[in-house]
Amino acid sequence: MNFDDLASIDWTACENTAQWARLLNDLLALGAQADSTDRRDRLADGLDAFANKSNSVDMDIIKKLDAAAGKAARALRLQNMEDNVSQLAADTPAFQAAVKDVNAVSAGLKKEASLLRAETFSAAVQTLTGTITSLNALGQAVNAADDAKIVAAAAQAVQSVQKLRALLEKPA
Amino acid sequence: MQKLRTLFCTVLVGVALSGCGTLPDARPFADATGALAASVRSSGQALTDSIIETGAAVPEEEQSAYTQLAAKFQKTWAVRVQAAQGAVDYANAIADLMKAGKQGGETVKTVGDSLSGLASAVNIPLAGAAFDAAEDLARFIVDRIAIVRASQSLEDALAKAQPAVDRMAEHLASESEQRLKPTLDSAYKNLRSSINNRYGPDAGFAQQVEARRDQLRTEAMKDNAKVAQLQEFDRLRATLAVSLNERDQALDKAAAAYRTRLQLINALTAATRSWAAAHRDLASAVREKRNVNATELQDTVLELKDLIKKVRAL
Repeated sequence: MNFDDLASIDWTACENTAQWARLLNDLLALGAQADSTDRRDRLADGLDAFANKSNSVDMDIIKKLDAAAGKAARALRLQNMEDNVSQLAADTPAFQAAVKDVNAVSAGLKKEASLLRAETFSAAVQTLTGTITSLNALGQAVNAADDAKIVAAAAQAVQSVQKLRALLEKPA
Repeated sequence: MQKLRTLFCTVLVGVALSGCGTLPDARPFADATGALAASVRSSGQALTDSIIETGAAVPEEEQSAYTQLAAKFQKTWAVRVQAAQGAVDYANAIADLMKAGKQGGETVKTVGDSLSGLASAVNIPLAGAAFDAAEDLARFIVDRIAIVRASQSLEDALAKAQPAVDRMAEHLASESEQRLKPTLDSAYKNLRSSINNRYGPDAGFAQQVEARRDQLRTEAMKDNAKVAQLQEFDRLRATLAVSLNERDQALDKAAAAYRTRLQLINALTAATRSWAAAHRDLASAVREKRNVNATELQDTVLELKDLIKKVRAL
């Protein structure tokens, strides 16, 4: 028997306990070649199928054969489970490296948010006081009905705003 | 002239406040991150529960291997749970920066109120209309500057984080498909194997009883003495049916638990992909909106000059 035969076992072919025992022996012999996840899975399914299909009037013997088949099937799958968990553990450092990068960006964002709050406060004070002065001057110019003064006052307001913006947008 | 001045200030503020740029909505990314964190936790718990359940069902000599495996898996998966918490912290940091970027107007209002209070306290008269206009204009300008700054910082941060986010998403999706699902499948099959083994003798006996009963039925038709024996087999069959019914219920329960856990693990794959996609969308939204504020301020300045001419002509 080989792994390709597992999918096409004729479970009705065994007519007595000895034949069932021989079939189980063949299945267990494949265990030595179950060197991959896929092979272990297929062999485990075959062994469980054996435990479910086997039947004989020799109840005690069949019970022992079924228990052996089930135990072997579970051991093969347990090995696959252990391999998967070991692989997860082996992948952990690469995963942690990605997490470290994200954490570093988070720390930068938090720092930037604090800085931005402080700068916003500073900008609010400067802009507000500056624009009050500028607009007061602008209002007086409008009252004076003098085009040249209006334009000069507006230019002054615009300049102070642009200066402030340039200052705040300058890289830290 | 006072009316003209008031009108001027009103129009000036109207122009100043028009077309304010905004930061993109970070809610989809925050939601996707929350879903990812919940999914990582629940998937890990689902697999741990499955391993423990199988461990409790297998014969005693096999049990310790499952206990050890569950402990090893929990320890390994805890790193992923911590990573998911890191992703939540990252989403919170983004939200915090956006909040800081959107607080410019509120800060100006607070400062304005303080300034006004201070001016009153020291008896300095501030022209009402000019002060109101100044506050609105200042709010506009500070808002813009804060949003530009937040947007630039955010774009840099998202670009820096994207490779790490992609790596984390790739790891989680791959682990979900290649490690969690096969492990869950194996645990479920081993649970079925144990249940079937436990009830195997009854199932085998029931098969033999069934075959013998069919034979007795035929014989009882010819020989009345066989009827009593047939009735004994019927009673035996009923007793075995109770046991096999228990087995079927245990198998059904295991299948239902398996399906639910599989759904959780499938959801992890989906949540991981959604999270990475939401991050890309957010980065793209920040990139596209970044330029809005930088040019609008200059446009406003030009409009201001034209407006003055119009006001003058009233």
